[in-house]
Amino acid sequence: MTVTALTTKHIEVTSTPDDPIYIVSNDMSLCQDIVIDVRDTASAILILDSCQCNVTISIEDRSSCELIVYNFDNNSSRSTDMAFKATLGESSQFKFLQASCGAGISKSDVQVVFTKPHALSELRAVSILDGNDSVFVKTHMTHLVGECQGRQIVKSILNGNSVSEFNGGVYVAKGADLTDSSQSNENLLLSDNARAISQPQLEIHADDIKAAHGANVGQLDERHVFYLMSRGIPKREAELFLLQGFILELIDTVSNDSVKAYLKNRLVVSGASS
Amino acid sequence: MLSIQNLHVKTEGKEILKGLYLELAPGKVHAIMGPNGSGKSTLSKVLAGHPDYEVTSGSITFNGQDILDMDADERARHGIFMAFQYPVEIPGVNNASFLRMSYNAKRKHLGLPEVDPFEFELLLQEKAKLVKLGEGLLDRSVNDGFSGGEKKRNEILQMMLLEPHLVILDETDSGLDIDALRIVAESVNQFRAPDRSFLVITHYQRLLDYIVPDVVHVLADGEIVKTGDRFLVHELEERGYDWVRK
Repeated sequence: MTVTALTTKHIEVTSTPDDPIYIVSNDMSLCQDIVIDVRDTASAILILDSCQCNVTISIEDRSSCELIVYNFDNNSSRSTDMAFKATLGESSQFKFLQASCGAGISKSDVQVVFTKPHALSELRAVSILDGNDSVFVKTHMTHLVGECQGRQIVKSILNGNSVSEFNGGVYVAKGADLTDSSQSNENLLLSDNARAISQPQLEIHADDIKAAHGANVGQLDERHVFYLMSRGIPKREAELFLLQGFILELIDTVSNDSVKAYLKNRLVVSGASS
Repeated sequence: MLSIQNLHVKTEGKEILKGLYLELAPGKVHAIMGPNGSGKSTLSKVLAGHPDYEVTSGSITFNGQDILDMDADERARHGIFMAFQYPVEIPGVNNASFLRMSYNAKRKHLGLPEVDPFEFELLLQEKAKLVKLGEGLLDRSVNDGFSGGEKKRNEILQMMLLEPHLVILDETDSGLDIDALRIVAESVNQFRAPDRSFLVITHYQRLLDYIVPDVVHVLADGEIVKTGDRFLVHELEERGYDWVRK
C-alpha cells in the first residue's frame, strides 16, 4: 500500500525532455488520477504503465504530447480500466498509442476535445488477444472548432475465445468546417470462437468536412500470403510474419527508437490460423 | 528444364488453359505473347503455384520433377520465380526483413547456414545498386507507396537475390515508363546464364526490344497457336493477333 498512488499526480512539462517520461504506478490495484499539462511549445513523450487510471491531459497551443500506454501482462485474470481526456490548443498535437498483448480484461476510454484550429490528434490501439482476453476501446473526438485533424486506428488479432470491441465516436459541432476525421477498425480473426464488434458513431453538424470510417473483420489477405510463399517462405511462417506486420505498422509511428524497439519485442504473435 | 504437357487449367469454374504444350531448354528465353484473356497470366500463376488455379489435366515438370503437388513456397525454393504483374503492397512488413527471410528460406533448402542481418544488409545493398533501387525503399514496408517502376525493380531485386533457374516475367512491362523498362531489361539481360531460363509474358513488343527472345509463342484461347523466332514479334506488331487465330 503506497500513499503516492492515491494522490493526484501532476506532471507539468514546460520544456522538451530528452528522454521519455515514465509514469509507473506503485500498486497496480489502485486508481490513480494523473494530470498532464504540456506548455510552452514543449514536446513530450510519456509512457504509462498502470492499469487503473484517470488521466487528464491539457496541451497548450503549439505543444505536443505523445502518450504510450502498454499492457503486456500474460496474467489473464488481470483487468485494466483507463480513462483519458485530452484538450488540444491551437496547432497542438496529441498522439496516443495503446498496445496490449495478453490483456486479460481491458477497458479504455479516450476522449479528445479540439478547442482551437489546426490541431492534430492520432489515436492508435493494437491488441493481440487469445484465450478469454477481452479488450474494449471507446474513443470520442469532439471537434468544437474546424480545421483540425482526427485520426483513429484500432487493430486487433484475435485467437481463442477472445473478444474485441471498438466504439468510436466523432462529434463535429456546427460551424466546425474543414474538420478532417478518419477512423479505421481492423480485426483479424484466427479462430472460430473469437469475436470482433465494431461500432462507429458519427454525429456531424457542420457542412464542409471530411469524415471517413471503415471497419474490417476477416482473415489475412490471401494475396499477401501467396506473395510471401512465392518467394520461398513456408505458409505458416508467412502468416506469422504478416500478422506481426499488421500490428507493427502502428508501432512504426512511435517517434522514440528505443521505445519502438521495446514495443516490437513485446508484441509477439504466437499463433496463426489453422 | 521446363516441360508442360497438355495442360488444362480452371479458375472460378471456367477453363482457361485448354491443352497447352511448352518445352523450355536451359539458358533460353521464350516469350509468350497473346491478346488479353488468352491465358497468359493464368499460365504464370499456375507455374508459380497459385492456389486459385486448378490443374484439371496435364503435367508440368521442372528439372525432371513433377511440380503439381508442390505448394508455391516449395516451387520457389526449387528455383521457380515469378515476377508479379501487380506486386502487392504489404503495410507493416519491412522489405529488408522480408527479403532476408526469403533469402534464408532458399539457403536452408540448399543446406547452407542462414545469413545474419548484418551480412545480409551488405549483400542487399550491393544487389539494390544493380537495379537502382534506393536504400530508403529497403527500409520501407514491402512495396508500400512504391511507384510502378519501383515495384517492378523490387521484383527484379528479389530475382537477383534468389538466383532462380526459371524466371517468369508476368507482364513486367505494364505500368513502366521507358527508363524503368530499360533498367529492368538490363538487369534481366545481365542475369541470363546457361543454367537459367526465362519465360517473358507480354502483350506488347516493347519489352522484347530489350530482352530479345530465342523463341516466341503466341497464346490464344488457352492454347499455343503459333511458335517462331524473334522476328515473329514484329510480324505480330504489324498484323495484330487476329491473323494467327486462323
